[in-house]
Amino acid sequence: MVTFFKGLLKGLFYILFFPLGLLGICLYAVFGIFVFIYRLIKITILFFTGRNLKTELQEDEDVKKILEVNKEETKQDTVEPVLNLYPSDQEMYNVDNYISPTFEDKKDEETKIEESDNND
Amino acid sequence: MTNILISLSDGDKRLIFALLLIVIIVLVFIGLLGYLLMRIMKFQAKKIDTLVHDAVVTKVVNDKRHFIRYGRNKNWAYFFKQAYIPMIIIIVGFIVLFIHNAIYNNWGYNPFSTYDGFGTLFFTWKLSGEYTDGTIIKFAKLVLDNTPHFDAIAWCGYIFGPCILVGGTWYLVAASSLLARTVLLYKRSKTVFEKSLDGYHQDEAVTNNDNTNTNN
Repeated sequence: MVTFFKGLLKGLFYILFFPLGLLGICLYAVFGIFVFIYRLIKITILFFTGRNLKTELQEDEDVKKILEVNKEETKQDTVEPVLNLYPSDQEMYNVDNYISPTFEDKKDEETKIEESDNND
Repeated sequence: MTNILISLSDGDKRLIFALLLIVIIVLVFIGLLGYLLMRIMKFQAKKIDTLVHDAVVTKVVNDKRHFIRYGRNKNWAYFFKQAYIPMIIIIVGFIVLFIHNAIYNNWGYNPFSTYDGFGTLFFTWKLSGEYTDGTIIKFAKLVLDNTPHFDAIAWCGYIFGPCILVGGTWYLVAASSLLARTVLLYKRSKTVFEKSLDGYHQDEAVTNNDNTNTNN
């Protein structure tokens, strides 16, 4: 029963809202003509004084500056990997042809190092 | 009341029933239109959030009056953006009407006339002066006045009519959007800078501050 009356009241509200809403819109449409003329004059003045129409308000300029600063800060905070354009000979190897060293290879290398140490 | 009901003929009763049905259907239709209008305006109003969001988040705008002033400026600027095309269409319509009136030197010309205007494209009816039969309810009889036809003499009406209808409807949509955004702007101005003391107790806050000071 309560939901029925709620629905009924809602329906009555919408029935009343439509003509009142239309009246409000029509009044605002008349007001809109004055707003349109005001904006037209303002834009014309801004255009001929060489101002940027996108950031005509001081607040817009401030917001733009703050957002740019924030963007720069976030850019600096993120560490970018450094690309080495001139790698040394040791760093240069072809990954496709890379064969992992076997145990014997490692042993040979170790003995070579030991020998060189002894010679020194 | 009983006497009136008794004196009603079958035709009258049928008419009353039909009228009631029509009234109910019209009310339902108006209600649905009201619902639709409200949904559309709620949808249109959301744009104001996008327009003022950055200024509020970056705290460039940080009080209610400044928020309303800034929001109003942005709202009007957006309205101009929305309304300039329909305005141009309407102005073009009026220029055509002015040229027509100047050429024919007829400043009393009705562009919606059914004789030489936009009305020639529609069915129209007029009162015949006769009435339907019925003991209580009598309806005025209508006769067909105009059947849709194309007439070269009505060229101005064919340009002016659509221009005004399209431009006018488009402009009304822009105006409804302006109204919806203004309403939401004032609503937001009350909530965005709202300071709530719900669940706040000064003594508790003081002791909490003391504790944090002693810990430090």
